[in-house]
Amino acid sequence: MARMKFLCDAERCIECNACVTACKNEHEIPWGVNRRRVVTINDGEPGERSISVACMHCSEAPCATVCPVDCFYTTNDGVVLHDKDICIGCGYCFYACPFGAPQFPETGAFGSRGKMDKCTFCAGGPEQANSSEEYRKYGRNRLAEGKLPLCAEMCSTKALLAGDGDKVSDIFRERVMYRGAGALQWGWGVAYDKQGVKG
Amino acid sequence: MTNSRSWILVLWFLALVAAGLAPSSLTLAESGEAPAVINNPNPGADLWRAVRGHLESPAVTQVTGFDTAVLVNEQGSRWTSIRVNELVPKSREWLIFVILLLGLLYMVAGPAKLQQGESGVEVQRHNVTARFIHWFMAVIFIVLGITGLILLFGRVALIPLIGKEAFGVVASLCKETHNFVGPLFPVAIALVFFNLVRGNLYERGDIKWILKGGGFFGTGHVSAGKFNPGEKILFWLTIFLGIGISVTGYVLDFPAIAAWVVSVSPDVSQYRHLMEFSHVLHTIIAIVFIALIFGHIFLATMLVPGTLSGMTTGKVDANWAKEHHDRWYDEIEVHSDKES
Ligand code: HEM
Ligand code: SF4
Ligand code: SF4
Repeated sequence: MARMKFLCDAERCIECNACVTACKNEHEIPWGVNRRRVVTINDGEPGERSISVACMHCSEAPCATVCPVDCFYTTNDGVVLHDKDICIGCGYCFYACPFGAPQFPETGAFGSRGKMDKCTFCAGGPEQANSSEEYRKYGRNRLAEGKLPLCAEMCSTKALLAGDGDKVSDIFRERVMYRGAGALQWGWGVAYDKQGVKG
Repeated sequence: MTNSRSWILVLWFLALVAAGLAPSSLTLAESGEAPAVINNPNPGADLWRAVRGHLESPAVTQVTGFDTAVLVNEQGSRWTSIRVNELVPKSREWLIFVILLLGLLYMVAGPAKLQQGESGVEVQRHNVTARFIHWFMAVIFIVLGITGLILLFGRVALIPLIGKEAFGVVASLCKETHNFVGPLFPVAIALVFFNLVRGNLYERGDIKWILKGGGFFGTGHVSAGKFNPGEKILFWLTIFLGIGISVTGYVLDFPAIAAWVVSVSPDVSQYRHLMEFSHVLHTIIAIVFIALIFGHIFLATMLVPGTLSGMTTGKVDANWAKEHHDRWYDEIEVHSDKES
């Protein structure tokens, strides 16, 4: 069985936000909710890096551990999904998640958040695959159609990779072999190249 | 043998002297030329430190919302573990422990019987206002306590019994009720405070009452005013726990408060850190508070018979008043003498 994983190559991401837009469009995500976002560190300075982040579909997911109504489940592909019919919108999964993945349609008073929404790895939810009910609540189920997540498919620089963890690792390993990881190793920046770039 | 030991002592002494001189030699080095700093850029390591928020690197994102520019929330797993591995099991153990303790107290001290029996004459203890305020707070407390405990224990205690779907409905009802009734609690606390604070200030004789253990053990009652020191402690704990649970509850209930704190306080960098902190504090206070009220209900109904009517009909038996609150009884006697 494949174990689905995301990988964002910080050496490639150019902060174009195409993944964010593609996701919103594919799943018709309501206003104010973003299943994916791009964070840029040292914006506009040398060494600027961007990373696209959404739910990482953790192996021992903290969100699932803390949820007071136990509404998460992990599919055979290692995708972490949840049941919106059971979710009570308490927000605990957002406090627990390392990546800020869970989103809520409301931020109103009296703790009213609405049902939690997050990246499904384009794998829908517990409803019948590709039913209108599933689409309304969780968006499109591309995995059931034999496709991979649209964000990664759309990525112009192929910084964002999504798919079977082993294949994703293979692609990344090939990149590292090609471009070399020397500048990232201890001492190389001093010994061989003061700029800390490939050399 | 002794020789080598004295050598060690001498060396030890020299080391001490050297340590004493060290600061002056440091200043010498400082006044000299500064050693060249080897610049060792490590962009990979720096980037991942920045990702984890350990470097003061400005992070930005186009997405608005809570903590969206933060890549990693390092406290989330710790909070998860505190809730699942500490709060849930320890709250359960603590509440069971308190119930067992109260049962033990009942077996040892038994119900406090009136030495003279009931007189059949009733005196007024709590007026309508006081009773209304008491039950206003009590109803809110019980609603919040039950709904809160269902949220806390439901996953381990109720899902195995009724299943996830049914529990989802129950939990949703509890959450909404708790979230909407909760903000009323400080109102009740304020009313109780202004209604009862005069009777709950320190009086002469309170220390003696405490030293005698309230007269639970042994014979004879200890002198007390309208409220005995035990009741006064209950009053003040209710006020302070009530304030604590209300403040943390309001933070949990109104995300705007946490967002505001993050915007003004340099100590809180993430919205959800304040929510996690408030949640843990809220739950701990809730469990202590519930245990306290278990004790209060147990005393007022089982351990000291004759107390409850003061809060229901407003009247108590004259002998109950004489034995448990003698100084208060003397006071009201004087008043009624004047009136008649
Ligand atoms: C008598 C007092 C109260 C008791 C015994 C109590 C108890 C609890 C408990 C046990 C929880 C569950 C924690 C968990 O599931 O991990 C909770 C959650 C919460 N409480 Fe309270 N609480 C009280 C008062 C309040 C007040 C005064 C407020 C608000 C003003 C409040 C607001 C909240 C909120 C917002 C939550 C989170 C619930 C959610 O969104 O799912 N509580 N409380
Ligand atoms: S929501 Fe967060 S904690 Fe849960 S699986 Fe996704 S990344 Fe992991
Ligand atoms: S918001 Fe929903 S999914 Fe998240 S912890 Fe609460 S009940 Fe579970």
